[in-house]
Amino acid sequence: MNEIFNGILQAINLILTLNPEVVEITTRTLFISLSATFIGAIISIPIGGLINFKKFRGKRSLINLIQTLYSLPTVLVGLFVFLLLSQSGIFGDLRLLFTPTGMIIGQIILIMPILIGFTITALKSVGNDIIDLSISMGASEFQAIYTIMREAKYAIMAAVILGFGRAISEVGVAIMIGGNIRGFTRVITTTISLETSKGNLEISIALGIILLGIALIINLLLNQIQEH
Amino acid sequence: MNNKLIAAIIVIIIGLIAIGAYTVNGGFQEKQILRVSTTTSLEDTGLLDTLETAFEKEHSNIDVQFISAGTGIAIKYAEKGDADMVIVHDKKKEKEFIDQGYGTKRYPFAYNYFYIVGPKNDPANIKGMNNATQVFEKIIQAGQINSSVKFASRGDSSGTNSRELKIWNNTGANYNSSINGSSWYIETGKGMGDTLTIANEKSAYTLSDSGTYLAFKGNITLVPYLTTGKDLLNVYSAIAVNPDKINGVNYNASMEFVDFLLSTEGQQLIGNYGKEKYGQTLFTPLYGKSEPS
Amino acid sequence: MNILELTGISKKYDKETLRNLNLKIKKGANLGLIGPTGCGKTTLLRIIDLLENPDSGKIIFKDINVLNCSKKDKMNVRRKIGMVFQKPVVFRGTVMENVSYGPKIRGQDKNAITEKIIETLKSLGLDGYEDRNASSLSGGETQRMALARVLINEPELLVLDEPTANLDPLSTEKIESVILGLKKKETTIIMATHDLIQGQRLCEEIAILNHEILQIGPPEDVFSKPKNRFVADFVGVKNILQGHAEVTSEGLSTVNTGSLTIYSSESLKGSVHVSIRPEDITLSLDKVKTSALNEFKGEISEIRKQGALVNVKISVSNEFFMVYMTRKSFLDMELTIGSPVWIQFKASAVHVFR
Repeated sequence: MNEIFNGILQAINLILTLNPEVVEITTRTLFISLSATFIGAIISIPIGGLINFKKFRGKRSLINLIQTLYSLPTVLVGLFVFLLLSQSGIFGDLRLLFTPTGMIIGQIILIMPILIGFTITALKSVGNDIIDLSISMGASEFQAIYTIMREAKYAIMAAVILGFGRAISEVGVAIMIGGNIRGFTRVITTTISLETSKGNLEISIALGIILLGIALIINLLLNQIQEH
Repeated sequence: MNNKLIAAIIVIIIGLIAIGAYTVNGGFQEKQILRVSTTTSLEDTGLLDTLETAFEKEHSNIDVQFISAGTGIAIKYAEKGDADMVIVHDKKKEKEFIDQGYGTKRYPFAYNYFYIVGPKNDPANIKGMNNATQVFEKIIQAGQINSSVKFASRGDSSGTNSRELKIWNNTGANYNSSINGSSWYIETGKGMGDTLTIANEKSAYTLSDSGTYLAFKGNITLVPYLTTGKDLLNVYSAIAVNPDKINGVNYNASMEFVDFLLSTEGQQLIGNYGKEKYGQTLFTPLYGKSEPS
Repeated sequence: MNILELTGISKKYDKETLRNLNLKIKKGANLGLIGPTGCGKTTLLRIIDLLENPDSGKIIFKDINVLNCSKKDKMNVRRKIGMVFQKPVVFRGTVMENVSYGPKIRGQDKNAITEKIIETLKSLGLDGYEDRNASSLSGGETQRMALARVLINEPELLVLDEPTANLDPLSTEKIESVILGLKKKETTIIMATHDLIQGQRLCEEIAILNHEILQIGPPEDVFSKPKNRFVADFVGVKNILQGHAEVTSEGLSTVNTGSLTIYSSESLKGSVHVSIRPEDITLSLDKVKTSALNEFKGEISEIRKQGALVNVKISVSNEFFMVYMTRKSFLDMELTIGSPVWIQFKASAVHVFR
């Protein structure tokens, strides 16, 4: 008990004094997960829109598949992307394995199902009466789609925030694609894992507190949005 | 939600991404990357950080990156070309690596010993023995009759695990029938730190590399029983991946690092390492001599 | 010129909602669409607004065959039609953002029409509402905003689905006055309502709808000269009798109900209904000398006081007639249940229909 208490004190010290390693790892974590979420959103929201608005055979099955992929185990995604990016894999020549860029790609693939699926749900929940109103007012197909997306704006934002939450708190992809290289690909989750197994509790707790803090901010943002 | 707030958040995000992109590209510098796959036990000692700093001081155009995993996985990375060289401590696997053409030459550069550690009260009564194989024999016998005798194994194809299996084989016992699966044999499937912690919890004996044991000494009650002998000799070698067999590996940078390891400066760094962190040095450099037998 | 022609429109959901419906609407017309619940009003309006396609039939807007044209042409037709739905619908954002939706998608500069928007809002009693959050408006305010949202685009055809149903009196008054004001703008208006009085007040023509158009014409015609039993019952025509009609020499017809023979100046042969407005029937205690061709003796079977009037039901043979009289006359004649009386009405007051 004493050890944990001490650990917490030292952790707070590390945070307050802006310990360089803690700052470096936190910044890198944010960079990787924010990039993945940003790029993932740009790709996924239009795809979600397309799937929602177009009629085609197998639409129901596709949406079911996407929803199944929500809780895809991160290590599976990690393994899949690892095989692709490895030197002996298809994209080996890009030398993306063990790089932050590779990790970003991995996280994008990880959160795409959530981003696409929740976008579809958000768009679907825009009432038919709004769609009728847009069309009745003479909106072109494109204008009507844009109007519906604007109506679903907050729900889509919530989806993006959720995606970010998943990206920043996962370990499987980060560790398999990143290799946990000191000074290069270590992020909060992989460092907590490593340092705990080495017995260095202070830095694990410090990073844990930071991660909790980020989770708290995410939650607050979500609440703000849900009020709309 | 305020539109201005949203705009501000987006600006911050873009800013972070931009900073990140800049730093990821090494601040627009064109540095070559040398990827070294190595074992967790070696990286955890902290020796590699010291070597990296010294090496990069003299070779400012090379960025050394260490990827640590169990020895088996480290070698696999190299076989796939995802690493440019390996630094491991499993002679048999290293020889295979070279025989199969993946590696060019084996460069042993330092050694230490594995430790056999165990609970203070020594239920298997191995204190004073000086032969690892005999110690393991005793543990098998004691484990079969005394339920408080336990042994924790890493079970993860690491160098330490390979050595443990080799010693079991030396006893002549059949690993699969008398050891693996027995009630006194605990397979953790984890790294050395976690395995020591589990061994500590369960008052079990275990085989550990010296560095990790010394790092954990303050937190556990296990004590060392045997720390020398041929069976426990632990030799560290570096092998560059063969560029003729695997495309895209940075052979030149690998060899520069190997040269550094074998240089007087490198060897001295290795030999002096550990006093500050562990109270004693961890490695004995070879200084060009062949490994002890 | 007809702005809209619907031919043979049918639409079926579980049951037949619209059945071979035909409707021609002249430019500048002001048509009220009235019918009982489930008659297909909303479906018809949605089809006119091009929100739904009929199962069969043709729709011609001005000279465009709407069901058989390019997407772009269809969209342009939609832009000339403005519809206000029965249930108010609101876009996220302010009132201004809602009302400027039409101009925005038409590529008009928002600043240029801000003046006009404010004017329109003012005419509907919504001045000062521009920056209010549209979803915070009351039902009546929302409907007025919806009307403004549509009027700002100067539609050639305005379609209104029960625009004042369940609204507060102020909203109703504002909306009705704007609708009346549109008469001079030559906007064609189709308005669905279940309120006969409102229809009579606001519309030049009424169409009675029950899966098809049963009768269409000026309100007086529809209300006093229903073409069939359904319309008659629906508009509340009184004194409906059934019988067999034959045309006489003088251009009259006699209708034999089995117990009575009634003269009508309308000529229709065969199995018919007749209706006589209560106001057209006079009551007297004795037989009088009258030019009215129809005179019958009967007795009072029911008396109901209705404000300043008295509703008297008189049985003549097996038929019943409803007559209105003033309270004074009623008291003067000292009438009670069972009092014998004579009733008279002209042949021209007898409307004959199928």
